[in-house]
Amino acid sequence: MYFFQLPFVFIDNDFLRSTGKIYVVALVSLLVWIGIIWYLIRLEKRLKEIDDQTK
Amino acid sequence: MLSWWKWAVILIMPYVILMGFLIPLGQGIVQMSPGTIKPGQFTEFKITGYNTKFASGGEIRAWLKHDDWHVQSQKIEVLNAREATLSFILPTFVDSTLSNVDLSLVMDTPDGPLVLPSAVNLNNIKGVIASESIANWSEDKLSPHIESNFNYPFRNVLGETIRNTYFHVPLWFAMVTLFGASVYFSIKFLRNKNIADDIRAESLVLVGVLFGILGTITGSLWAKYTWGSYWSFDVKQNMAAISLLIYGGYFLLKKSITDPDGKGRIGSIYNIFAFAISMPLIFIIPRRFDSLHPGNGGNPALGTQDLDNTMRLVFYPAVIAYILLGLWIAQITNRIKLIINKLNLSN
Repeated sequence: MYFFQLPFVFIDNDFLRSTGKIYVVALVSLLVWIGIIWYLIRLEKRLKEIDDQTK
Repeated sequence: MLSWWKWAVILIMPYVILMGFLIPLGQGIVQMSPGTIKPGQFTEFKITGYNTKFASGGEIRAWLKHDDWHVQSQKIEVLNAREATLSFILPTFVDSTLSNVDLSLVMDTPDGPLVLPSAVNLNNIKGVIASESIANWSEDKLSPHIESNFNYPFRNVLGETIRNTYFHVPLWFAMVTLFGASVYFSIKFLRNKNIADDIRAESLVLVGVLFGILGTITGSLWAKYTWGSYWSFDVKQNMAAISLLIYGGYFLLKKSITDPDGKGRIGSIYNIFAFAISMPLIFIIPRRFDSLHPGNGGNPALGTQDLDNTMRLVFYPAVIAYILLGLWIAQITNRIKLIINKLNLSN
C-alpha cells in the first residue's frame, strides 16, 4: 500500500508543492504545536516567577 | 489523577494525527493537455493523475462532457500508473450557437470515477460539421464504478491539503467554545461579583486568542498554496483578524484599569460585546459576500462537497480533541492567574 506517490509536482518545483502539497499539511500541524508549546513555555516562565516571588 | 476529558485529549489527539496523515488521498486528475480543441480534429491528450493506478490492467473509459452531453474517447493508451494518453475526435457541439464550450473530463477506472472540471475548451467554430460518423454527442447516462476505497476525496487545487481540515478548522471551533465559555463566566461575574469568575473569563479569552492567532497563521499558509497568496484580503481573513484585534482590546482595557472591581466589571461587559460582535463578523458576514473560503458565499462548509464520511470520522474527533485541549490549557492558565491573585503578586 502506498500513501503518497513520489516524486510528484503540481505546478512548479517548489518543495511545499511537491507530493500533492502534503508538506503544507505537515507545516500547518507543526505550526499549531509550536504555537501551543510556545504558550506553555511562557506559562511555565510565569510559574517560575511566582515561585521566585514567594520564596 | 487526570480527569476523563484530559485522557480523551491524550487518546484522541494521536488518533487524529495518525488518521489525518495516514489515510490515503483518493485518485484524481491533475493535468490534461492540450487545453483547447477544435471540432473534427484528432486530438491526443496527455493526462497526469494523482494516486491513480492506470497500469493495473482494469478497463479504463473516458468522456469529454458538457452538461448532459458527452463524447467517448476513441483510444486510451496507458503509459504508467499516473500517465495516459486519451484520443478524441470531437464533432461540433450540439448547440452550434455556442462558440466556446468548456468540457469536463470524466473517466472510469476499476477504482472509481475521475473528474477534471473544465479540462478542455472546445472551439466550436460555427458552420463546421465534422466527423459526425466517427463520433457523436451522446446523452446516455454514464455509469462509472463507485469509489470503494477508504480514502479522502481528491479535490483539484487542494490535493493533500484537504487534510488541513483536521488541523486548521478545529482551531476555530475551539476558539469559539473558549470565547463562549468566557462569556458565561463574564455574565456570572456581573451577577455575583466573584473575582475568580472574572479571572476564569480572562484565562479562557487568552487561550481562545492563542487558538485564533494559530488559526489565522495556519489559514494564511494554507491560502498561500491554494488561493495563491498568504493574505488575499478575503472577507473571512479580514473579519477573523478584526475579531482578534477586538479581543486584543480586551487585554489592553483590563491592563489599563487599576481598580480591581472596575477592571472586572468593564472587562466583563467588553467581553460580552466582543463575543456578540466577533461571532457575526467571522461566521455571518462572510456568508453574505463572495469569499474564497468554504462555507461562504452561500455554500455550507460542512456539506457533502467539503466533508465526506471518511473525513467526518477524523474531523469530529479532531474538533472534540482541540476543544478539550483548549479548555485544559485554559484551566492551567487560570490556576496560575488565581494563585497570582490570591498571593496579591504583581502582574
